[in-house]
Amino acid sequence: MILKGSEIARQIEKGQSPKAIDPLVITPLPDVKAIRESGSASVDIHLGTWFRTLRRARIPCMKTSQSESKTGGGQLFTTEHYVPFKESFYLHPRSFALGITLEWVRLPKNLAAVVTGKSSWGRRGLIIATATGVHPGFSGCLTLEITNLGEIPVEIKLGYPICQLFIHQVLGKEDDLADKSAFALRRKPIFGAAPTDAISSLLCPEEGK
Amino acid sequence: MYTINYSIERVSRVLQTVDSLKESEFPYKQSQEALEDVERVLQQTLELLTDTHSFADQDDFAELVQTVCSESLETIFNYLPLLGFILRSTNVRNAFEVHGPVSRLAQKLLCPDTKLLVSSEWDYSPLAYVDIPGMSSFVLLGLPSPESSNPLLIPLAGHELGHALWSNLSLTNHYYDSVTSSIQSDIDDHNELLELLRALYKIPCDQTDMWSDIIFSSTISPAVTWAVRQAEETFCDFMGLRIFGEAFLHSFAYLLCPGEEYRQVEYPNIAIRVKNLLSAAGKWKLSIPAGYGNQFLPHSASPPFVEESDKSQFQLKLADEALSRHVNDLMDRADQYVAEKDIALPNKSVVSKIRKKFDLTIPAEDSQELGNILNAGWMAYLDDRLWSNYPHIPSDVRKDRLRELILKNIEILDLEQRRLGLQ
Repeated sequence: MILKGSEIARQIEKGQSPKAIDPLVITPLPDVKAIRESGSASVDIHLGTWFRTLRRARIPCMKTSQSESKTGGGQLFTTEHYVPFKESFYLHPRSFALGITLEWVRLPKNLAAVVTGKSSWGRRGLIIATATGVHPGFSGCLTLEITNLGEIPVEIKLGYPICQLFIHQVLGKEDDLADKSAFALRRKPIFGAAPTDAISSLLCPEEGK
Repeated sequence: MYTINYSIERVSRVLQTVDSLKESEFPYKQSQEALEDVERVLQQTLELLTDTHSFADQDDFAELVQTVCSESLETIFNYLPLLGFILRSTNVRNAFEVHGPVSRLAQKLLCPDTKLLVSSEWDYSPLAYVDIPGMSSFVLLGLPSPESSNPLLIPLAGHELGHALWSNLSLTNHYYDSVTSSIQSDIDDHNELLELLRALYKIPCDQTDMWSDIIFSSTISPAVTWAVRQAEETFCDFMGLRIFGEAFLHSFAYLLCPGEEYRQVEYPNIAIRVKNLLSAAGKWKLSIPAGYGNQFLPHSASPPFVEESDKSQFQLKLADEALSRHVNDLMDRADQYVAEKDIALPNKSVVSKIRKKFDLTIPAEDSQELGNILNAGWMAYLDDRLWSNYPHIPSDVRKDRLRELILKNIEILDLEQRRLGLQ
């Protein structure tokens, strides 16, 4: 069940209480009144300051078996960039970058979220966060996958609303299990390890190592 | 003529290096402006070298070439390390989020026009470049490279900004006179010191003018220099403590405890530094971490050259004694100056509010001052039970993730300060 703006606003306000134990938090705090009165069912999220772009020259290809470095950043494959406030990030046609949200988002155990790009950017060829799921218990900035599918470079100003968060209620028992994602509690976009499971280990034993 | 041509080429090549550095990704405009200032100094040097040719028919041309070329070489020696510093300030290993809030602190403390660069050094000691000719509005702060993304060490910037303030207020001159008088009266008042001085330096007993220039420069002048340097370091310790409170004590311990075997004469013995800090903490009603002083061991050895020389030992003793007579004055001066600049000690209730947010794995809003965030950060860092109720955050990454959270909190403070119209 997707939460409507008024319910999102209520949950955010409830989370501001010093007594809150497992709050929904979005920091910097969005305009709660505007969310309540918007009639929409999402919260706009803004573009933050850190980016990662793929290195092209020295890596023959990116293998799924190659795991992230100890720092989690995938420095082997990517270059990190910092763009200060009031400046812009330029994404050229058919280029891909990892970005990060300005907001630090914390979801309680009974809520999950989906990140989708804003259609206004999509119409300009910019595809953002292809249905990234955010699990209950997540806390941190959200890594965004950004691609320019258009024909001309796109300037993205820092601090612009770039995507939206649809928040869902999670049904089932609220236990202590929470999101084990390696992306939690980060302020920079990270590459992360390619996921493996029993089936991938069986079918691709070398890859699974 | 090789000398002048070599010199012109040397400076030109440094300027080419500046050109290539201009293509860096600058995290903030101050890095770029610092580069432009260095370029200006180098261009002036190059013009001076080029103009020298027009004096070729003068009798003293050879001397002129010698002087100008020698000065140009000195310019390169002085500014090339700064170019390295500026380049490292663009490295993404740095925590760029701290730049805005620390800049505003520096502007409040020093002068509204102060421009700050934060960079990383390949030297395990924070440092500050201040009073750089041609770059007078700049303060360059360097943190050790492995710690350049560690917000918990930002309180050490308080100490480094203290050096800039010391220079702005010309306190070296002030304390030079005061320390000199203190050492002279110490010797005048204590016969055993006087006898020791006479014996060490073979000053005849009938020499009554003990403080003639010649005797002074050959006997106690190094002691005065050391005492003044120690006074500066002590003042800077007090500045860090006065601005950042208990967080400064923790970052000081993180960087220095238990101390090195050898002591440097420009610093008080580590045990004395800690004693002075704790004394100021008590006076300013700060919480002192339990067992804090026990983390440090007094320097067991003097610098080798002091160990080997009776005269140096005597001078160091005089310097230490002179410093001890100025500690309270230095403490009050730091307190008074920071208070005049309307910089409050960290606010306990705000610190506690931020700390509670950290427990919930979220950054706080309305942190008001950088010191509040860093104190809350240290409290969380030192709490062994931090996030024990979040089993999905593995214990071995908790401290790294806490640093991420603190940096995000600092970025939010930066945004809030921008909203208030602060640049």
